[in-house]
Amino acid sequence: MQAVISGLANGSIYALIAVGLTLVFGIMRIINFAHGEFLMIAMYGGFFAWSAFGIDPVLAVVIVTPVVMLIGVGLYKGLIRFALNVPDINQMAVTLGLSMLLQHMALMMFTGNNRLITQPRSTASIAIGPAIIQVPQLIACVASLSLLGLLYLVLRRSDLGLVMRAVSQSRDGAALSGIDISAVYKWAMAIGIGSLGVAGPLMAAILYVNPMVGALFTLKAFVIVIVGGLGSFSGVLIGSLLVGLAESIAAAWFSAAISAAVPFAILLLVLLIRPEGLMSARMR
Amino acid sequence: MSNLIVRGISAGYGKVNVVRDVSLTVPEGRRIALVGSNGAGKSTIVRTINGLLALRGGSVQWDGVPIESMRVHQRTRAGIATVPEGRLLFPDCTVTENLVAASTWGQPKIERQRSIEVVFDLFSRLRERSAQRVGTLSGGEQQMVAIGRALMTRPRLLMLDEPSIGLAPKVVGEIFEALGRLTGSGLSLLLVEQNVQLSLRSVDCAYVLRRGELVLEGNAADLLDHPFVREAYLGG
Repeated sequence: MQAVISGLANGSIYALIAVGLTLVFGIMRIINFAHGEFLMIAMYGGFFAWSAFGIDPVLAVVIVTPVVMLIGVGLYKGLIRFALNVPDINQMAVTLGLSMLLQHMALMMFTGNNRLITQPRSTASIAIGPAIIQVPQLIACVASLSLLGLLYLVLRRSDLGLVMRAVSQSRDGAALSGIDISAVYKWAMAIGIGSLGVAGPLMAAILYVNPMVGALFTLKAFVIVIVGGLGSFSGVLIGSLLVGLAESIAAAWFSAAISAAVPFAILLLVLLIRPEGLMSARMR
Repeated sequence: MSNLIVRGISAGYGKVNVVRDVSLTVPEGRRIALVGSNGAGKSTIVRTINGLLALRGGSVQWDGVPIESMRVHQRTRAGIATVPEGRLLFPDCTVTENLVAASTWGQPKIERQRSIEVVFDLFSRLRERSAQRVGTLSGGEQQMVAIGRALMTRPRLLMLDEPSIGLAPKVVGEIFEALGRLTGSGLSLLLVEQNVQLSLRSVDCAYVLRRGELVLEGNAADLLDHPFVREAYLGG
């Protein structure tokens, strides 16, 4: 039971990280290997807001998110825009290179030290039935689920969501309908990277931040996105919860070392049985 | 006054120029057809006008303004709408969503509803299917959505790239009948068709394209009787 609760909590946070990756891929058809590095930046943002100014991570979300959104737009304008019309392999080189660049810049600026936001509530926990959940984890979980709900509503109910889905289903068709594709791409990057601005500060209260933390989450996000089906919103939810659950159950039954390998075992399994992903579809 | 003026354009893919030195005009409110067999370069011309394909030579003017440097969505917003080859719809969106997507940039919500009603009046079948995903519709219904979506942009020129392709004659009749009702309100039409007889019967003037070059132009009625057209496209 404990494993299930913490698995679901982790899974919902994974979902928030993976949804940005899948959104950007679904709309722009670009694979951003530097996705985790922007999470790392957002985590540092949350950490320094707390350590330098004493800002609570929950409040830091409000500051970090717009900044990270702007970084997303800047990334599109300054780099991704030029990488859109080159072969896939070159695109990957661009975002992979960016990922390494950001890691090493973070290493230079912030050193390799592990940092963590520690507050009075860090060690507090709440009982849910027979299981307990740490307060910072609960906060992150609730925030993730609310933001996912909000994103879903935006995609389904708003004009912006409609044109995003339109672009993801037919780029030329959307342009012929008078939709400004590059404006939609800008929004996709702003939201895709911006969602990390919510995840980052909250996660800095759960997990050590260091320059390499992003790489781990890029990998997990990829597993989730591929398991769920690239570009699928519901697939992200299912994939994340699956990975979160499997990890924590494996940790409870076997060991933490095995738990780290579990996402990739799931990935292999899904690729063998259903190579297109569980919920494979265009963005609906 | 002429709305669309295409002068001496060349365009193509890779090393091949599919279209060479083509000039044509679509005057305001007129119905023009561009006919020719498969591979003659008809779609290429449409794609250079709507901006999906870059021009290699010549010029395209709209309302007296050169539009070569305008991006695709800007040309659409300027009043040039396309019903493209392959339709390029949004298959996982509903009929209504497909229509709305083409009006979000230009119309407040109340006006959109009115524009949608205009489309539904034109194709009443779409009203019944309004909440259905477009990917589940028949080919003819999809073509109606494609035309409807183009109309949602409130065009002054409607370009249709092979609207009859792959459709049953009855549906083709329905669509062309609807197109007939459309014109007369100042909307110009550029109809690209392989079906020469059908298109010549539904337009005022036509251009005949052969292997990337214009070989004939004139009144649609005259072209129907022209020996070359009869021999090449109408089976003698």
